Amino acid sequence: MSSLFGLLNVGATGLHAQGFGMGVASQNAQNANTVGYTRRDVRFDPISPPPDGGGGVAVRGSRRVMDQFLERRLLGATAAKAEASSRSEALSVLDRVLADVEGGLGASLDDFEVALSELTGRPADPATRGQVLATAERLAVAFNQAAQEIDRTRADIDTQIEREVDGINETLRSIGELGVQIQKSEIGGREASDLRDRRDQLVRELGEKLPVEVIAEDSGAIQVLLGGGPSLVNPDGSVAQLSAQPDATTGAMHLFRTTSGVDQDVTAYADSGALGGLVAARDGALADSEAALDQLAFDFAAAYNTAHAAGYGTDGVSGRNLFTPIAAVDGAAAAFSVSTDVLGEPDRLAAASDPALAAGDNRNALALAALADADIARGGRMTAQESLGALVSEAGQAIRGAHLDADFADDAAAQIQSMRDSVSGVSVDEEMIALSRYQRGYQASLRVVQAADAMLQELVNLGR
Amino acid sequence: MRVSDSMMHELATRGVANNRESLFEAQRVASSGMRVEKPSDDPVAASLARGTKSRERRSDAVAKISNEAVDRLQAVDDTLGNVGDIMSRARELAVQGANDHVSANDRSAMASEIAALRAELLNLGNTKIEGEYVFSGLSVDRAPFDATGAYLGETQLKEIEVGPGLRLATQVSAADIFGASGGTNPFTALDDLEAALRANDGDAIHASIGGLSASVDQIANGRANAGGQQQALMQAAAAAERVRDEAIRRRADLVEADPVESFTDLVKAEGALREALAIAARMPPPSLAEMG
Repeated sequence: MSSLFGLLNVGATGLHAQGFGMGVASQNAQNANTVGYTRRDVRFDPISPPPDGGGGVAVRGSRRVMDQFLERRLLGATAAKAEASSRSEALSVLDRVLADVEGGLGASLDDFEVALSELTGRPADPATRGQVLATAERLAVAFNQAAQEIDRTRADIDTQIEREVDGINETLRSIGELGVQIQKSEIGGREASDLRDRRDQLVRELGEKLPVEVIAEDSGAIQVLLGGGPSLVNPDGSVAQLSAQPDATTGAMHLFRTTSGVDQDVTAYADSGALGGLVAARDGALADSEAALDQLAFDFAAAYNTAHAAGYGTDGVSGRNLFTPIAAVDGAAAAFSVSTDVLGEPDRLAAASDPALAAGDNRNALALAALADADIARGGRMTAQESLGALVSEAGQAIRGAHLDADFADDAAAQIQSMRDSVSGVSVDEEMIALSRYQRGYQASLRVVQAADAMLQELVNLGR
Repeated sequence: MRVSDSMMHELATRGVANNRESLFEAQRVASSGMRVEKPSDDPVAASLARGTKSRERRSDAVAKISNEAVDRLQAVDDTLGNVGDIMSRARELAVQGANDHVSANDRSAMASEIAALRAELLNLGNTKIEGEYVFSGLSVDRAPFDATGAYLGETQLKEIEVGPGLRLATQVSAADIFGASGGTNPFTALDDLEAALRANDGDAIHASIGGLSASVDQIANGRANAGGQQQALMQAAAAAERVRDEAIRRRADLVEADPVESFTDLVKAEGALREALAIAARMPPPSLAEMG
């Protein structure tokens, strides 16, 4: 049997503990809508009764309720979702460039082929000749515009990558600093839940940009690894800095990690997250489409030039180009233009195969028109139209794939988020119940104090 | 399962968001009437549609140039009719003039008519349609006949391509009709007749009838051939138009939305959104917080 003063103390520990519990329940309820908040539970320990201890309840602090496994899966799912959605957004330019609309690449190619076909019927007609040149110019504009749009998109992506990398470096520094602060704050043994919440929220934000893995130690020290490989944040709080740089020869974007002045190429690890998605779009479907477009422009100009040079204009001159000869496949779509040999000079269009016949001879026009059915593209396997169709299909698949990936990743992330919230999210009802439970506990503790007080009173009266 | 508040809110939010997205897509299809507008809407259909568009445009062009060639051949046929009339008239005169009872004076008058017919024939032989000599073969800006009636045109005829590798001539073979490549030269036949008439030589006049008859037959054959060419070109044009119409139909199947289906989808999407909104409208769920 403890002393009456001891009993008063027991009551006091109870009042303190129930009050603490009410505080935590209230905090949980208030943060039901706070992003990144992890609900806390209260840790009470009984204090052994005399003679070993004074009795009562001891507050051991509060702790975040979380499942590390779910947190890790959520990081991965968030990264996948951000990857797919930034990839599909970046690729949407191809939908615009390759949409089959008036003035688009496909329609311009049609116009040009039709004009050549009509030239075979009216080789001497100046209007028909003019039409061929006009459609050739429109085709050139369509090629140029497509190349420009893709080019501009790449420039936008590069700017975006730069901004993301800056943001990531900032986040890495903050995570490192918080890691150190957490370790310092927790020396006393109580969990620094708020700091941990802030740190974990930053890790989640980082996880939207890059695939990261986190190794958390009980001490509060944390290590963040890029895609399970190179370390970005070390347990001692030191961080690596990232930078992005396109390759000088291939033009492909590379990601470097700099630690103590040494650069390491970490592109292969950064295959997810918004940054991974941007790089995948830039050097994947976007680069592929541009290459296919360049190849088509190159093959097209070469084939039509060869056929055109073989014929004669109405002035009896041959050997002229229809399109400006293109030196390299790379950048061919941007360089595609009507040759100055014929520009503005419909008479020079080589419809004839015999200089003496010139005006009425449509045999070279037939040869030019027949190129529409000739396998001049993709290494002599496809016609120009087929090659464009293949490009439409390939680019369309890439965009559609990104859309589907985004939908799937979105669902997967929502599911895991839901599982995580099931563990760590706040239920206001639970907190309401907890509040009334602590209220009841507080009343009970108060009763203990009252009882001890009454007994002490009796004792004092006894002495009178 | 433990259900947190954020889970319930998230569920309602996602339900509304997903259904709004579906409704937006259904609205796009219903209002544009197009199922496929961009490559990503249906990559395979978009790629095939590109092919059908190309086929449509090119078949249309083939039909157009074939029909133009038919029109031109029709005009040439009229000219050939006139040429035939001239030669028939000349033969008539030759038959009349060959009669021994015809006087030298009458023969002289006939000779003058023949000279006029010959001038007319030269005129017809050098007929231009839309600025091009129709009997010159490929050398359309060179007159096919000089004053002597010698053929200066090309035997090579203009052709158009009506299908891959399939070419049809769009000019009549003047060389065959006017005897430049063997056969009878109508100018020579007229010259012979005129000379015989002026010489008042009954036998020579009689002898010229054979050449004139051959020329008349030659021209008739030429017209028949030209008719055959027109026929072939008309068929080619009709075939090209069929290909074009088929391409248009195929393209519609590939990229256009079925109006009934798209409207049904729209109604369905609206209904789904309405349900999702009804659920969201019941937020927040009943809670102890409101029962305090």
